[in-house]
Amino acid sequence: MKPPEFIAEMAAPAYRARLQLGIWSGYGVALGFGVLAAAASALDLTPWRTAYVVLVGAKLVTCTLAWLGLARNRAVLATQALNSTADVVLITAAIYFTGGPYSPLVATYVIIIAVLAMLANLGVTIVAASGIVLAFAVMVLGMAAGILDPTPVPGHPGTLPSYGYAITSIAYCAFVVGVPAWFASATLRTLRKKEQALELRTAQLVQANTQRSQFVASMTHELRTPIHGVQGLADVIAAGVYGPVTDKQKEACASIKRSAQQLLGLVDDVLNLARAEAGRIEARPSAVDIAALVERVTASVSWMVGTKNVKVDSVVEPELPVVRSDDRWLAHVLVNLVSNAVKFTPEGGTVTVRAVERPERDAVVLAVEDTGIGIAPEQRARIFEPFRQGDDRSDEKGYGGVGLGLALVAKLTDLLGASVELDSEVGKGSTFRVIVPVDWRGRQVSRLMRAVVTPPGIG
Amino acid sequence: MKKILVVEDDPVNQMILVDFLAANGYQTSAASTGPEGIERFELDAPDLCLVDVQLPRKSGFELVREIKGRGARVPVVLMSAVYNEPDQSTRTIALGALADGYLTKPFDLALLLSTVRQLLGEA
Repeated sequence: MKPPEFIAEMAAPAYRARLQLGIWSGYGVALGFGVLAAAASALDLTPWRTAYVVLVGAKLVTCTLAWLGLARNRAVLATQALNSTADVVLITAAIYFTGGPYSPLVATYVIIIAVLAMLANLGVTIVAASGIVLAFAVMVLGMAAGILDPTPVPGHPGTLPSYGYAITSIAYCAFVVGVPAWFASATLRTLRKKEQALELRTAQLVQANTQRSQFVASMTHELRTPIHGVQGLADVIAAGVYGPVTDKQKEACASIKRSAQQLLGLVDDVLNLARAEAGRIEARPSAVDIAALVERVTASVSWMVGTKNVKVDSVVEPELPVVRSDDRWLAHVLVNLVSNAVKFTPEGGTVTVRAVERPERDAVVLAVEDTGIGIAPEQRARIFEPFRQGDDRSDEKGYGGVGLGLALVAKLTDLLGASVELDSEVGKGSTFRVIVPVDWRGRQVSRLMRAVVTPPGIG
Repeated sequence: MKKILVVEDDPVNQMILVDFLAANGYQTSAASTGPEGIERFELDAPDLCLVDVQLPRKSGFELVREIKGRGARVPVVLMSAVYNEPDQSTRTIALGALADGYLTKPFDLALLLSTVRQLLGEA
């Protein structure tokens, strides 16, 4: 028979220390009862019964069984269940021998509930509470039906209590209140410690995040500055500032600038991805003219393609609706998809950017079609992961790169509330489709969030 | 001949700006830090200043405020390599700091030239 989950959970290592504590408290409660019973008998408040010794003795036995079970890691749940059942049975018996429903010991049940609530879980506590009510009902109904003989209540109810009775009942009261109070305070202390540890950890994380943001910001500046230098120098040389330049030299300057631009794009992608993963890029929706965007992107990618013989075409459906999106990020998505397509298209191939309205008229589809190597179905999921390309051996096939572009596309389309679809046939080509909703469906980072994460003093 | 002061800490970028402006018929002087920029401003009395935002010891923002605080009517253009700024906060701060223009690096040299000509009333 398989025990329910909340009981099985109690055998987990995390509960070991608590079970051990429960066993110690079991010994304590049994001995406490023994002392109380001896005192009550000595003070002649209740007749001495051999049953008291049997009850305390039985509890000591079940405690020891539970201890051994835990120590040898055998039958842990069974011995613990036996020990808990013993608690209920023995306390009910003690209540019976001291007057049944009239017994002052009824309050002792609270100890069981308090200990279980602190040491075990909710399910176990509920089961124990039901067990207690059941045991009490059996005893009281047994007495009402005449099966169990009535027993006298300790002392002499209705008369002045003797000092002996007063002292014993004070000790009992302290016992019943003290045990749960001790468990509650122990639990609260543990919780407080955990809370402090959590607060400290949170503070450390916030600090680490701030440091990271500052690092990324200064890295950005340091990485980009020399690239600007390279581009600027290529520009001034080509402009003839340092003397007459030949056409060949101008061409070389253009190549230098292109290479620098590629490097800059890579640096930007790394940083954008880092920001996107930290949830730190923000979209600013505005009315986007898709035709103008496509023209801008194809022009800049054609420039980047340089000497590679790949044609970049664009086909834009007339009268496209104006979409609400983030112009810059959408352009970034398209640039990444088109340069990706160019990269995986062999010489003489064509990359076509197509913009059409979706038949449902609620979105514009930006499709990037290539005549490249294609992507096998089993590779399609992972190309959107950072630092992965479709084929991990693509390096050997001459397609370098770190696989950042599509990972960023995935992050950015998510930000924009857009989605990406992929159709591909190995050897024939691939089509990436970005579905851009006409109405803004993207996310915006709240101002507060940005205030927390934006490092001060970047210029 | 109009004089332009370039305040830029990166030596290569400084050289590019100085050489390009000189080739386009401007007299140029250059400084690499904020305090040096103020010093050159006093000595050379330029007609326009090109100031990088991120400068050692004194930021470009402070420099603009100081130059403008002297009642000088010299146009100042701030430049920054702050990357990818969707909300353009540096531009806003730059113009809030009374700069007359703002350029994001890397900028087109043609754009630089047209900005300079416009501010000098030559366009």
